[in-house]
Amino acid sequence: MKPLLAVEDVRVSFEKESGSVAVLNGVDLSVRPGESIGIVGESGAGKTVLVRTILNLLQEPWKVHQGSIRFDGEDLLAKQEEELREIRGVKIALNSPEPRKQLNPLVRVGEQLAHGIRAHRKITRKEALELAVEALEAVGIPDPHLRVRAYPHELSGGMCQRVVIAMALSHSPKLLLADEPTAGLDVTIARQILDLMAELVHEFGSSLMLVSRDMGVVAHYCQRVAVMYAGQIVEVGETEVFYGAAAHPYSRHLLRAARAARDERRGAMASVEARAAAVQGCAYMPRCPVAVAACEQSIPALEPVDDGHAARCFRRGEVARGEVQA
Amino acid sequence: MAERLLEVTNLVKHFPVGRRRSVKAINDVSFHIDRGETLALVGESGSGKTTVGRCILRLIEPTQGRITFDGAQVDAMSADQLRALRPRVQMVFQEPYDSLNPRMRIRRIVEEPILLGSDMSPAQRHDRVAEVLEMVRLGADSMDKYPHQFSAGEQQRIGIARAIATQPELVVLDEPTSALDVSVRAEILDLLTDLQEDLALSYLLISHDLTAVRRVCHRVAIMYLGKIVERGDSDALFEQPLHPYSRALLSSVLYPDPSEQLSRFLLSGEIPSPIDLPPGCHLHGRCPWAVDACNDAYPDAEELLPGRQVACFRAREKNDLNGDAAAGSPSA
Repeated sequence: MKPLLAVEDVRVSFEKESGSVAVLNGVDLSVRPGESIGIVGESGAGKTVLVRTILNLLQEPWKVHQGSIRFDGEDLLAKQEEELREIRGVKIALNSPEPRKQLNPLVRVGEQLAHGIRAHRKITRKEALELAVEALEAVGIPDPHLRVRAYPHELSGGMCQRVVIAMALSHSPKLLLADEPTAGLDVTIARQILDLMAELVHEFGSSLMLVSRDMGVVAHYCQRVAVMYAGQIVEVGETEVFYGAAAHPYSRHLLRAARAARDERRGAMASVEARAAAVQGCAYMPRCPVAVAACEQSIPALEPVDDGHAARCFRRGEVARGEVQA
Repeated sequence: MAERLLEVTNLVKHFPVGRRRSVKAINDVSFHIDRGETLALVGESGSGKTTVGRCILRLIEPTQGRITFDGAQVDAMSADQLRALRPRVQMVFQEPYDSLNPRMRIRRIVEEPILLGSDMSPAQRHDRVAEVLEMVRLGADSMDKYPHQFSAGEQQRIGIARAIATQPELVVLDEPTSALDVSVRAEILDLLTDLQEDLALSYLLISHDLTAVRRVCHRVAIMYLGKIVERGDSDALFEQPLHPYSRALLSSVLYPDPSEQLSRFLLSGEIPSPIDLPPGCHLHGRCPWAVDACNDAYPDAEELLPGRQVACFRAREKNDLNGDAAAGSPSA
């Protein structure tokens, strides 16, 4: 199947006076039509920068050096701002971690929704407001005809996130980029939001790219997983395969940390003494418990382990089969 | 026989807002912590868990209730008595960076509570700072650096070093790992457990993160809107939560295993405002088990299993715990 989104060898840096800091170091990733893919990794891995690069939202001092991002056959990085506006919000929608910051505090939420709808559709303000009420109802906001007149501060964090989801989905986008959609929410509310998002994405037939630090969320809400480390995708695979036989030592590390709470009361995390980073080798080498001489000399490519399962590790086969303790 | 270190009885804290109204943050909470033990206070935002921690340190004044630390009544202490208590009860905060003065070197930061609470010589203080930094696995060379030169995990180690510098007996840990990445989280929790063993510390661990809690605590108290709804031994409670809120909290934790059946025991709606608490049981508007009785009165806590207190009218029936508490064998 042709991918909906194909990211190829994207390199992005942050330009400082003192020099350039590489943040994305050749990201390759594809998203298929209708699938949900989870992007996991710790803070600083480049997840959010990747999302912003896809939408071509980066401005100075960020710099995109090379690579292509093809969405529905078009190269987004080559597009003019005018053309991008036709794509952003309509074909690709973004849902960022802090819903309250994504909303204008001085404008009623209904007006904000209506504004977004009218930006891409020729209808009257009144019609748009009616659609806004429907949209609020669809995301499970009680008394939508009243809440449409509420200001963001009058709504709870969970309600704001619902409004933002309503906005993101108001044009039935082909791809929804959700960056930590439940980060600031209480756990009993977070599940409601995830269920809602999964349901709506399914209903519209959209693809979902769910960026999260939570390995549990991705396990249950995504069909595929991609792991980011130091600005690269270090592993990608079907969820079932990945959680059963992760092939990159860093993925194993993340999974072990996430599972530690349940499997045993403690001692699951042997702390790794970081070695000095090799300039030319694998970025994970300094922390890797199974590094060999080759890892110091060259960067492993993202190579297949199995059908649809790939990892950036010279020892991926052994790691996946559990032959070495990574 | 366990020695009781902290006892909190019928604690109430209401913050006045405007003329007639108040935020009812804590509504009659009682619990205790034994020496060497970790009690986790778990709840979502607005549950009152952080307010409880602050009342214990008298960083804020309780509205009502009694707090006893090692036999002395904290809520009745004078300013002088409180000063003498400070070295014995310390706190670790949620935001590692925000809780460290960015203009102070680590030496000063860790030394400060010692300065306030003892008459050590400068040389002794220096040795003590070096010693606690080593306990939290930071090198002695970190002493002359500033907070921003450290990662978030290391900053939290500094916060922990500062808390243990005065050889406290009780440390209140307010969300110590929520600002950290998962793998760092695990390291900090392991460090806290090691320190507890080495220094015979007691912890009050305040958290919304159930996975963190399970790893390190002995007993758990689950709070919802200013009340403890269930408490008991950690392992048993995690295996078999009896209160509907505990069940919902636990089922909202997603384990990193796609083959695991997702629990559908979910609450509807949002957390009500602690200004306008619902009548009756605070959970009844969101609870799948609610009946009319839940609207009329707040249920008393009952011991449904040995050592397990549950405040719910329907928990006995819904968990198939009929009559004899010890013989209960609930169905899933």
